[in-house]
Amino acid sequence: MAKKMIEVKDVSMKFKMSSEPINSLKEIFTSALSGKLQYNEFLALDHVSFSLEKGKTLGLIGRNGAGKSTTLKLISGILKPTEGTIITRGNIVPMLELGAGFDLELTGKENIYLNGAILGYSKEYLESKYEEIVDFAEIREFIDMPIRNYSSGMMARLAFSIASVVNPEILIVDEILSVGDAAFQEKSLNRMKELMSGGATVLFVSHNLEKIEEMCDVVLWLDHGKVRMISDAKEVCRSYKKEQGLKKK
Amino acid sequence: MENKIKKVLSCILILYAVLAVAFYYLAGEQLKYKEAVEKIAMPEADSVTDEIVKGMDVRQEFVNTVDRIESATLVFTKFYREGSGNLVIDLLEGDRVLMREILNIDEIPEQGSVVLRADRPIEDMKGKRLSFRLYSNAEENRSLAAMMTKENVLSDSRLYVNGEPCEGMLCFSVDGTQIIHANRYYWFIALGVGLILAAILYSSYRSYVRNNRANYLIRSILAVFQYSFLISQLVSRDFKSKYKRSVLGVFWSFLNPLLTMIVQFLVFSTFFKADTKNYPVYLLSGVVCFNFFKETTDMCLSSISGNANLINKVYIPKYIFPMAKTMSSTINLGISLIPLLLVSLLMGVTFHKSLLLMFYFLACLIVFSLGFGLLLSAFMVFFRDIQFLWGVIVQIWQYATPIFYPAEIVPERFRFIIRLNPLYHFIGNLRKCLIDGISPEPMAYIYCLVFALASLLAGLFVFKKTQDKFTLYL
Repeated sequence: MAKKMIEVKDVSMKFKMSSEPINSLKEIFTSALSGKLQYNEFLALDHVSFSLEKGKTLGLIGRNGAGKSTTLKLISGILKPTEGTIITRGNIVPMLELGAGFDLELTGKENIYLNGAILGYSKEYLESKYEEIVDFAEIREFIDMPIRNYSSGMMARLAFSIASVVNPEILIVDEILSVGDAAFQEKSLNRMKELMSGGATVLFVSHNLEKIEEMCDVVLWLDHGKVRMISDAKEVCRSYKKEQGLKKK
Repeated sequence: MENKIKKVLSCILILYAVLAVAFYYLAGEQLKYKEAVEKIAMPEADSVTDEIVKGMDVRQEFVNTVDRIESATLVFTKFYREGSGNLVIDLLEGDRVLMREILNIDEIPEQGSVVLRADRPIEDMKGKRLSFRLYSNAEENRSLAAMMTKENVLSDSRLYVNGEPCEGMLCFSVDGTQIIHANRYYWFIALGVGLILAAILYSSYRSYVRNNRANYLIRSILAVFQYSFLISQLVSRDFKSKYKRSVLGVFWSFLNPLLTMIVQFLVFSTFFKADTKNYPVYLLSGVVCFNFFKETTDMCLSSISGNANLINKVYIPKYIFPMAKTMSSTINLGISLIPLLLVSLLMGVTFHKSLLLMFYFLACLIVFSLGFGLLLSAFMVFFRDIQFLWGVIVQIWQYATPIFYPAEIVPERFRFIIRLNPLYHFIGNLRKCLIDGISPEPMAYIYCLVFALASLLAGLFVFKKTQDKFTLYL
């Protein structure tokens, strides 16, 4: 049996949302003292369990607010679950929002190092991969320019290049395949496929069902924080489409 | 990895040994002696002796309470007349002369005090019966009289004039130092702490190698390896983006404390210059230290909330952010030490070996500020009001700390506020090392360490307790 890279066991995630925004100390004190500090609890994930074997690609589908992004954040360690356990084995590269750590005042080169460090790359690794990143992003002539002068496409390309330069054991992707122009989209898609065939275990969120079907082995359908269905990609996509179709009518 | 850890652990131990030895030599005398607790204070005068003329002999016996006598002081009056001739003051133990001062009566100011200073502290004097003996060769109406008291007479003191016992007591004070007994055990204590440290390091290393279980210590070392690159990147980002579009750039770190100092100097120098030794250096050292504390806490305050989008997108240990901020302001502090040392040189401060001890107090200040930074950054996530509140608190704190005024002007009944203020201890001891050129007494080191560690532990505790909730509130 293949090694399980991700194990999610009976995980629930509750968010506390105060019914009215409490923004000041005074309000907190007065409402806490009078016992009126009430939160509406919102259950983003409700006892979700699944696991993923090495080298497999899992697609996550579901409507907005179904808990897809929360799942990704839990697995990448950004959030801690309220209940349940999550076990991951191997280094994780989360491509949740690319270029989150960019500093607009710094040059492209400086941002490669800063962003790389944020993603957990070592200095030696970044130095050895620096040329590759610059070439892949196609921004060599602008590399010493502060990135506040970059176009949004250039920035996205740079971010994708930095994030995808490693060969991660677990790759977490949240709707990022629409980067740059058509040519670059093609290129980035190929790079993703390369990573997947390189043995990476991939978690993948997209609203594009064709792409999900094309790239994923298994698909997990989340509905209001619960697992609606987890099975073979084609099967899940078919049922999902069917229900969406029904709703439209 | 194991080898690396081994290296780090042995480095820690070697560093400790080096510091323990270095401290012994740098602290010097101050490690052995401290200001005497039971000094004999100058009583208020309410009367005077007869005029001390030729042939007269005044003898004041008393029981000494000071261990190592460094100086003794008597007060005289000349009845507002001219004087001539010499006055001899002896400090005797039995018949042995401990100190002798021969003075020209003419040169003693009216109601002036005469200080007898020992060339070398007179050792082991506590509990001994000592006496002052005063005599002169002056003619009548050309001499002086010693101030005395009838109200505040010390027990066991006797005044004799020409061998006859008299009522009252001369006004005098005795000042000196006392031996710190713990000092004798310095090497034992140092060795003991060293052994405990070695045992802790060894056992953590063993449990890591054998059972692959990393305890707190090992985990922090691993984290340093893992995240040092990220921290260095964040720090260099701070510097680059801070100075990117300014003309003078990093030079501002240098200029800023200097300009603040100059402004405060112009405003306050007339008030406090006379009371304070080397006022510009006094001021600048206070400004540099307090600015560091202010800058660190300000930057840490928003370090978590300001990086919200990052924390929500990528997993990074969150303590990295306040730590990186503290690091960048530490570098700033390092830069602003240059003007401090330059100004000290210009103002004629001579550097002693105690200058190196200054870094101990700077280290305490840094750790203290980091603790506060962690605390504030965690609070800030939950109550945004802290940022405004903190501005006010810092301002109050700034005025409550003797930065531009000498600590002595604070009335005695409010002194306790100052003594409870950790920044006063850090800054005050640093000034002692820098300006006075001597080490503070050993307890000062312990106080500062306790303040620094207490702040750090409180910060870490609150931060650790709350960090998992950060993402929910950002």
